[in-house]
Amino acid sequence: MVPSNAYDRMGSYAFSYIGQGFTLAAGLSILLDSWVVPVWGYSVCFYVLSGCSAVALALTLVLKESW
Amino acid sequence: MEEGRDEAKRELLARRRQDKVKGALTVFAGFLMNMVRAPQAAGSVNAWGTISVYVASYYHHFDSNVDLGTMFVVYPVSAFFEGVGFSNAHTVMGVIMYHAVGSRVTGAAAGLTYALTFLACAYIPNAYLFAGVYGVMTGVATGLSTFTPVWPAWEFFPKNQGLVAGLIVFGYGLSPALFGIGFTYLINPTNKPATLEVSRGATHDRLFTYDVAQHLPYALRVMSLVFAVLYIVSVPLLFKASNKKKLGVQDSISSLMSQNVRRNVRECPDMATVLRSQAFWVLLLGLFVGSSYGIYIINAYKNFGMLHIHNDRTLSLIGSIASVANAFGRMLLPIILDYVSFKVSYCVNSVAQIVVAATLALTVTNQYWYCLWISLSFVLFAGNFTGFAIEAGRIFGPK
Repeated sequence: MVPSNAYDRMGSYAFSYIGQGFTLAAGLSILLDSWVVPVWGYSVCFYVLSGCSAVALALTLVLKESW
Repeated sequence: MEEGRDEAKRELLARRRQDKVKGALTVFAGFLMNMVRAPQAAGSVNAWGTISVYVASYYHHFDSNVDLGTMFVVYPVSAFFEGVGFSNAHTVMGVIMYHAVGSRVTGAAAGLTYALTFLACAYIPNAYLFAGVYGVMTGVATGLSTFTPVWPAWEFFPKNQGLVAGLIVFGYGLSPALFGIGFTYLINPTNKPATLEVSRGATHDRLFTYDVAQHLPYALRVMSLVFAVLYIVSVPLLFKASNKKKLGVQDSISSLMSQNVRRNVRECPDMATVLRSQAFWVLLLGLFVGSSYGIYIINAYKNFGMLHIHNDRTLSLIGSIASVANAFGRMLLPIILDYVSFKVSYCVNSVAQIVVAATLALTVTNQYWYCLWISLSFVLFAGNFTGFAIEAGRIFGPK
């Protein structure tokens, strides 16, 4: 269980690195918009992103919640 | 003797009352500052998806090579400069700046950067220069402003850090609801539809004609003024708690790091251990692939929606409703995580995101369904942010 004041734990160093996942995702969004959308359209782009969410689901399932 | 004790008690009570008022004002200032933070491109929910089409339309009339794809890069550039250049406010850099010059100076610098960036962008004649200046400078300003009001507010309310951060971040989620609509009214007061069809490979994007797009510089100047006023109001309301020492901030080199960060250095695994752990890489990759949909759709919901919904205000309103939904999601999800484990909550979040992303294209023909799906997308994106932050803190944070 996570304490209700969980936001204060955002201050960990580890998250400052894990948070770079957002930067990588931003980079991926450029690639999708400049390569996938012009060739196959928005629908295919959304399917790719749906697939990304499926990978995230798989990763969550294998996550060991300790270091 | 008795009188002296009563006098001291009264004084203490008066100081506590004064501290509460100052603390509340600091939280309010943080709320206002985070409202300005959002209209820039970085962060998560923002108005960039709403306004980028106007920027692309404006510059397309001077350079026909400019399209929606050109302006799409602004968000990642800004995210890079926020996330790497000045950190997500979670690294030492942000903390050092805050402690070196104080919250008011840091806040004023952020406000000045926002206002001057919008003002400068109103006069930039080149789309690529606009994308660079807007992306870099708003990223820097975000790095300066994100947690600047949160830290002093935590000093006033050390036992309610979650609530305080939630209230301040609520401003961040809420602001696109106001600024997105406001910007739309400034630039397209008669609600003209985007009629200029521009092909991008197999995709046909829609842009606004020059009679709408020409209002961009004016809208940027107005926004610059609004941001300046918001910061002029909010920065003086940032106070320092009088019982600072008691709360753990001491006069030493290590005081350059906040109480939380110092605590983490002492009690958490070192970075080498973190980097060697499976959990770190799974979380990093999980956040990367899990947040990709949210980050994309925040930028593209309007571009895609315009292909089928030919009402500019409706689309801006959809973005605003979705932003409010995201703001509530950011506040509520940490509370849900009090009762449900990260694995369970994020699995539900991911499954929902898989379905929503795969079916989004089917909903765009109906504005109500599209609004619902975009709102769901924004809420699920909030799940990525809060879920991973909390899980990272739980695994690698103080025990």
